[in-house]
Amino acid sequence: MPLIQYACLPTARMEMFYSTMRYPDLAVLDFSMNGHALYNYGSLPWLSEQVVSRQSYSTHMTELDIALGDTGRLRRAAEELREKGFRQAFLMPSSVASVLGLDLKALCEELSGPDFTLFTAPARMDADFFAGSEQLSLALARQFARPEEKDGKSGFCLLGGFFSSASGHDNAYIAEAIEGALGIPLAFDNLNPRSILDWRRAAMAQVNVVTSQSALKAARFLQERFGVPYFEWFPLGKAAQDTALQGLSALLKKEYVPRTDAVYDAVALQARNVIAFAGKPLACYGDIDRIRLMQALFRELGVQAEYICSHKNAAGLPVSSIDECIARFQAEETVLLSYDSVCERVPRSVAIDRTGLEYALLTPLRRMRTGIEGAYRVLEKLVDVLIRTMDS
Amino acid sequence: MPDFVPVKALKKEPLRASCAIDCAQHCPMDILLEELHEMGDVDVLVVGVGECAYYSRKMPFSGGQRNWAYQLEDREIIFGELSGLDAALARLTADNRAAVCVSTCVPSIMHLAVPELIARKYPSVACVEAPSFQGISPTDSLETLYCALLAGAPAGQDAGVAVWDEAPAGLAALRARLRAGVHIVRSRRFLGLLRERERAGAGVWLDDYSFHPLDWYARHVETLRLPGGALEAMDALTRALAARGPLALRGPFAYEFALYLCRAGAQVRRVSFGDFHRYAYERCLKLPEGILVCPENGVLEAVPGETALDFTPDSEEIARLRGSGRLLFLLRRAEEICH
Repeated sequence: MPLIQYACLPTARMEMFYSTMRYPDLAVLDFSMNGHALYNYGSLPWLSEQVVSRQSYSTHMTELDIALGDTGRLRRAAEELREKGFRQAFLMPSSVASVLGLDLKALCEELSGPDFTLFTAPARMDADFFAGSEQLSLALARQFARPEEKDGKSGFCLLGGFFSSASGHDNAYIAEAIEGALGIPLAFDNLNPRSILDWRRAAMAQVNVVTSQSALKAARFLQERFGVPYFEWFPLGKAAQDTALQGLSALLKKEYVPRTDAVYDAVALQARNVIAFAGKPLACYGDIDRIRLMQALFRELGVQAEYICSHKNAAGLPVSSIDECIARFQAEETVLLSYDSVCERVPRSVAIDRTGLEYALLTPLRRMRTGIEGAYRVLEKLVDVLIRTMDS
Repeated sequence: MPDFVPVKALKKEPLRASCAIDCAQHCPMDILLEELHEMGDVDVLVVGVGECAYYSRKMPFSGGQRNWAYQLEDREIIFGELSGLDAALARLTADNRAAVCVSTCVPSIMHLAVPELIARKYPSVACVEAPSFQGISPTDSLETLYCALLAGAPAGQDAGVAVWDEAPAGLAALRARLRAGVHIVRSRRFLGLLRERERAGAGVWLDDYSFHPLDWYARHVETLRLPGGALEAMDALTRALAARGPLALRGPFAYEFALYLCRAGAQVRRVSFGDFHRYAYERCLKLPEGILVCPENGVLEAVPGETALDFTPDSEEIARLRGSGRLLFLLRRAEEICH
């Protein structure tokens, strides 16, 4: 049911807005009402690591513009962006444009020129953040990825991730793990870019490492068009991280020898024991990426869990809204690993992701992360909850 | 640099020289949720698209006050199929608590029959259409909110004087306040209510938000409880300003002060203010032709022969004052600036 009593996930448009804001040389233009278009309620972006005002533009729309289908404000806005020196701009697929049936793609083609590229990406009215990230990644790859003749293939690129889960921190950890293990440099991280033109490196990399399934379409496009292979990276826990590094090194024809980690082995054993002793059923509710990570970890520990996805997915997992999930697990003995907004309302729960509406400083201490460190963080919180349920 | 334009050229929308956004612009839904959160005793259902639903979660309602959202699906928007919304409203109103349904941009563009559904089936729900493409400021929606919330509530049966100011009050308190025989309105958000109730002849309603000619204050000096000597001071200061020659005004309520002075015979040439909204627009339209206005708080460049009265350093004090107190303060400050 579309009734929301507790929380909901970001939309496709929001994901596109905040993701495109990461590129300092890409203007983001919304042909919509000012208040509606800003997506910055409560000064959220001003309290994050991004500065919204630098490249965000909104035309505003009045009743008259809507009634007459007048796109004059959009044209003037495009002109203003040119005068300000922007060479690339993203036109947001706003919900208002959708209901008005505006052909944004045609408008982009009309308003683009030799020194100014205006482009857009499709977003259905009720598309969620995952679909938004998928469409945006593909649009950026199509628009900007192209090899430079003078450079050969080098380095790896990180593709994927969402603004609400602050995945940019994870990517720094992933880059460190890959650089350390395989000795190849990071060429481009789409969550920590210096320029929109960095996407060119995705056409010239030795491999594109996909950290979110929402980037798979873009990665497949890059492979088909430019021959750059891609590798899906979803490890949580040592076994999954070793497997990922071995797979990646094999793809790159390098050698990676996993090392034993007695500390990790001891922690994993203790966690396994506590989970077995507590005897509580476990469930994971989140986006498909988070679920894949949890599946990897629980597979390593030999733990059974129920997996429910928060959005439509190709993996055949059942889908539930946040409200439905809260309503169900409030009443059950199951220990739920899920979004912060769900865990606020479910007594036996572990937060492994955020829905993006709190004002906390996002230090690495608050992040689940991936790999071995990620496993430590989630297992520590899970064991803590399990022991509390045994005490009560 | 913001432009000064003739009053007749003032557009009924926020004037922006650039499309670059600023942080301060919210949409009416956000303003309404903040207001309803302060009220504390009214439930909310926001009807809109995903962004409306998501950002409505930002407001931390507590104490049992419900803040729900209904996210419209494609078929509901295209075909106007409201059975899902009907079921949501039924759930919200199952215990007969007061509620507001905020209808946002997309339902308004598509003319979804949300107000009609609510009028037909849910008398305890006040429907507020609050699209962001209407009005000048999102705060304009507050007038609509209070008219909707208090529609049909009995008024004027009791003696006593009620003051409608900026302090937040719950719906129960407002309904009790409405029963007074005399009402003094000192906040813009209740002006719509004042106009409705005046037309209906329900009680005596005094608009102490706008500035009036001095004879109006003289007629209501007791009700407004003006301090002794205030009328005489306002009269003397007004005459002095009217004799001053050409004036330029800048600051909060500059348009209101300009209108007051023009009616008292002063020559006002330019008016500059920030915080542009529907009320400011309507008041500006009453200014004499020939006056130049700037709703973007443009600086008053010096013009020979013109006295510039810039009240922006006193913005906090002006915002804190109410009604006739605000007028008296502006008159006194103007006198100080001139000397």
